[in-house]
Amino acid sequence: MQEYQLYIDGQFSAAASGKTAESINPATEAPWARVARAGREDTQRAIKAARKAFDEGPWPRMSQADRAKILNQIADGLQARAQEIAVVETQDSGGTIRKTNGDLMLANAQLRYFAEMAEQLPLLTEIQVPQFPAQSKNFIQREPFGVCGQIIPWNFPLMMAVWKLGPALATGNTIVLKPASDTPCSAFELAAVIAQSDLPKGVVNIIHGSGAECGEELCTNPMIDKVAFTGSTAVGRRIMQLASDTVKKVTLELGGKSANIILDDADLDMAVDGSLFGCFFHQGQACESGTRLLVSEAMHDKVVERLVERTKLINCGDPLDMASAQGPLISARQRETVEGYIKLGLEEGAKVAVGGKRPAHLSKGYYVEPTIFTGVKNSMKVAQEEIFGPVLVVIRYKNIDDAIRIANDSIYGLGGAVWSRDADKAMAVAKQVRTGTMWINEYHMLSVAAPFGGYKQSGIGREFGLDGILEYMQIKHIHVDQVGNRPAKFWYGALFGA
Amino acid sequence: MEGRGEPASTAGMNVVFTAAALDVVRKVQAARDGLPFVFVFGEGCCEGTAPHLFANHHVGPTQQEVGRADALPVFADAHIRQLYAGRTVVIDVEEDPLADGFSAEIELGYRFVMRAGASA
Repeated sequence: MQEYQLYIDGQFSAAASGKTAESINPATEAPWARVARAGREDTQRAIKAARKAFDEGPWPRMSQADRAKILNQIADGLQARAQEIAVVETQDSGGTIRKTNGDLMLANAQLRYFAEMAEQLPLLTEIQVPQFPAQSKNFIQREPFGVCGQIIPWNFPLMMAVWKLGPALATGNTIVLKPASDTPCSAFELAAVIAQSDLPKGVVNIIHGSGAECGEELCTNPMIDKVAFTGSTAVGRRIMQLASDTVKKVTLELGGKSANIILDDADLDMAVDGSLFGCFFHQGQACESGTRLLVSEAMHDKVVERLVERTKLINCGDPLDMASAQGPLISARQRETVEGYIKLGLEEGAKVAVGGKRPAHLSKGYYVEPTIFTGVKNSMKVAQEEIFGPVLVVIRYKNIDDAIRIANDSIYGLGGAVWSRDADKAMAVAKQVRTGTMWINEYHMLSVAAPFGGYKQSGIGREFGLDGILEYMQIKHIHVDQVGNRPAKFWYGALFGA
Repeated sequence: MEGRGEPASTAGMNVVFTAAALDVVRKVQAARDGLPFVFVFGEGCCEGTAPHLFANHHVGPTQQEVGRADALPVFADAHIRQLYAGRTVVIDVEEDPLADGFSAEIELGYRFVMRAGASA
């Protein structure tokens, strides 16, 4: 069995308690790796190392070019081991090898973007201000935020680690990263790559443990300056509360129930396949998935017929097999949750058009067939709650205004799409949906150079792009006096004037 | 109002605990003696609709009490109350060394789970 240890202060080590946990391969339901399981004490040790690296170490003080060089070194190391790490990721997460290979390629490109930003981001910028009441030159100095606690989910383990580490490192922060309990292994592979680079010790620390112990410590420890979290809305709220005692900066990327709108003039072949990709990619375990498909009354039957026909062609199977398009869900408990929602949908009167069961040809693994519900009202649980599984609900709309109203009738606002041959019409719809990302004739295509994040209860702050990088920087205003002469000062008369 | 859907029912949401779940609630209270605890519900995403047991947790204005575990209150926000209106929700517990949430029982190796019961 593969073994992994905690990565703290540049060293791999066992947990203080000696505890370990077995990581389960969701395709075989068997343990495949043993990972050191951190508690509060290990988390505190990691936080201290990150604090010391920030307060006393070279990393925040290093030239931008040197930081960029080290980030590129890490990207090189990741690239050299990409295929091997993709296999680790597939065994740990159940993501198909096609998906994890893609994740490794993307993670690499993302790290290189962050390296470029590390080098090119202007840290000192002059700004123009009115010269009343004081003649002055004014500058914005951007500085690293400090020690960041980062908590990531199990759906895109390696890529989420890069999304969090990349911008934090590019801007000179130090980090304690907690991967999800179900999928720690690729983060420790990344730790091995980092250990081979010139990154100073203590800058990146990676621990495996529960939210209740390690997560709570990251959110409450006074030595942490910022918490970045990707996960559920309920935990996001809890994190904000925990972080409020020490007034930490918090960025959250939370749930979604994104609307995918097919307009009547869409290229139907593309819209149908794109909508299936939008919902079923990685078994629906992506926050921005297009899980509510909105179709007009007129097009409904035609679209559903094609959706069903195309869904039957999606191949569920061993995620290590290049021929598999769908792997298992992450865990037995996630499958139980998803199956619970399918049951609820049926009880609420929705109809399963395709799927709804475990695939008959697979005797092992936490698989659920890609499932489509029709006859769904937007008020139903299956339309309001994020299922986080391969379940698409089809909702009818009367006209475009009705489609926009339904799209916005959600506590979430993370992703979404509109399919149309009319660019202006699609743009008009995209502008009216209250959500962080809208794709036109596309889905899931996030760019490292474009901001990603949520409206409403889908989150706070952005990742990626300049906006995402600035979330990791403090802003300092520096005012340089240009009056130069005491009696001419604006305040002089007020204090000492005649 | 956003995200409320159409009103499904005006009936209340009913919460009951299994004996095993109550036992774990008492274990958590004993382990962290004196801290005030509340239950709140998840709303999907990576942790499903798990009930979360939090210490020193502020409950906002949209939350209302929908049940009790011994003397410990269970809160649900308007969204959850509407989704489960007229239904009984059973809170049970499972042993789970790999549970990942922030809920307090996880430190003791357990995880509360929600089982949607029949309509009232």
